[in-house]
Amino acid sequence: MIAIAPRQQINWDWRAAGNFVFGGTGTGLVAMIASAVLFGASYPSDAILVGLGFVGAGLFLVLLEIGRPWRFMNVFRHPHTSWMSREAIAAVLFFGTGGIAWLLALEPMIIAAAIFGLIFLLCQAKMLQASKGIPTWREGAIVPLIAATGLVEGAGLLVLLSIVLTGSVQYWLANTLLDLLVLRTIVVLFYAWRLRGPRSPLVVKPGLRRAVWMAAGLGGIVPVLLLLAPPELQQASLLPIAAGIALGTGWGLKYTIVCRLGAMQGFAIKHTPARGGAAPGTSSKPGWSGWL
Amino acid sequence: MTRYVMVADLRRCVGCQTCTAACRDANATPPGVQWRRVLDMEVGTYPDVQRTFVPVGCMHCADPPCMDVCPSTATRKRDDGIVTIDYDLCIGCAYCAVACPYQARYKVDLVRYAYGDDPMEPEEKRHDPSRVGVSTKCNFCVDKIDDGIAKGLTPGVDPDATPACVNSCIANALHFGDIEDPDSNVSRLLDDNQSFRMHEELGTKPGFYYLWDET
Repeated sequence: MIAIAPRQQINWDWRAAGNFVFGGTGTGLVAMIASAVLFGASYPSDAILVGLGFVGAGLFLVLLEIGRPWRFMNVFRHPHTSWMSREAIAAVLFFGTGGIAWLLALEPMIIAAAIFGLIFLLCQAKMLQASKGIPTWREGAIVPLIAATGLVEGAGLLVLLSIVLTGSVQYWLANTLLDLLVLRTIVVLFYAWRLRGPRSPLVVKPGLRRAVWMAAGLGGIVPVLLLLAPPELQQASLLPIAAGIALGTGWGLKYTIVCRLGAMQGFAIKHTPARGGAAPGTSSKPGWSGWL
Repeated sequence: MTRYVMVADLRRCVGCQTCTAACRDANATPPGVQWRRVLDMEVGTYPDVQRTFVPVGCMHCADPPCMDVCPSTATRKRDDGIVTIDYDLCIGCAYCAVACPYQARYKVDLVRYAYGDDPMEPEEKRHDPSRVGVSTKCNFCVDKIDDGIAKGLTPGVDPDATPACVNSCIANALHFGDIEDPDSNVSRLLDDNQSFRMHEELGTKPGFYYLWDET
């Protein structure tokens, strides 16, 4: 029996999700380091390498996913319309500029790496939006959602790295994390609102509700409350907890979007046929909220 | 200009799946891969229930999202509207599979046979290693069409230039032809009947029409 109603796609699994998870975190981290450069603030220089490592790990997971990994160079052949080709090109430029920035400690190259990283992040978001077969991915609000999630993860990771590598977190960074968390919460709610009712298949509704609770509730409100606590408490313990929650919920959200909310379009007919003497019938779109 | 399309008369289809079997035979697709499928849709609630059989597969869209997203240019659209995959270019990323709203694409990473690990003789003979780890889908039996045209035959009219699923249909529900030719079989069918295309709202301009009533 062939499933007619939308069901979870099985072509992209945790390995593809890993590319969105690690790619967003790595590029978000380098974007935060570039912000530090622009603000004249200090930053742990080895964090650039961590950012490159995250993006590299994500792309390695993609290599594990594709059917013909030795043909990977073919990914560059279609930048005219394919966001995957564009992502690959942005990755090369990101690694080139980021690598030079880390090796030679050149701050202009950090800015360049951040720009290419943000382009990479945009490409990832547009890749999902171009997936016309997946209703929750093709929704336009996925673009700001993926972008905001990557930036939050980058800020959260830089907070944790700053604590580990330098023992303290600068005021601007904590503030940026707070602002980005508020932005991500708004974007998550907007994304869920756009998929309300008949705009998404019934099968994704429970997962969508859980994703909103995770990203906007646990991942938004809780860390925001922690960051609004008195500063002396923040540095001691609350700030790393808030950063960890921001990071973890972002990863969880992206994994959920790829591996749990990726229901396919399903099938639909606009009319049932006129058979024999019977009149034609109504439309059918199984697995959505009813008739077309 | 030529544009080949398929027309399925929903009034005639009886859901026998002969087209599915013919496709699998013609294209030697492995277990679980059905380039031509027939959905069994039950519409309505008791006592007002209708059962409709809906052939589906690659819709050979005029604006195929699978082609736009393909990073390797393996997916292409020919001048006659047939969407093809170059198995030697495809990297098997399956981006096209998530971009297709018709669930028409398959990617098989492991070779499988109908009965366990050992292939039957015809499976062994027709196994095509170039199809492993890449996206595959219905191609309207494009080799047959090209061969038929080279022999001066007309696709959709002459069986030797017509997709296997259309040839095999016991109810004459499936039709194939050039929609740009006003005298073709498909053009006449579309003129004489009311039709729709699946998921037209997504803007893919599918080349697969469903007839549901007379005009």
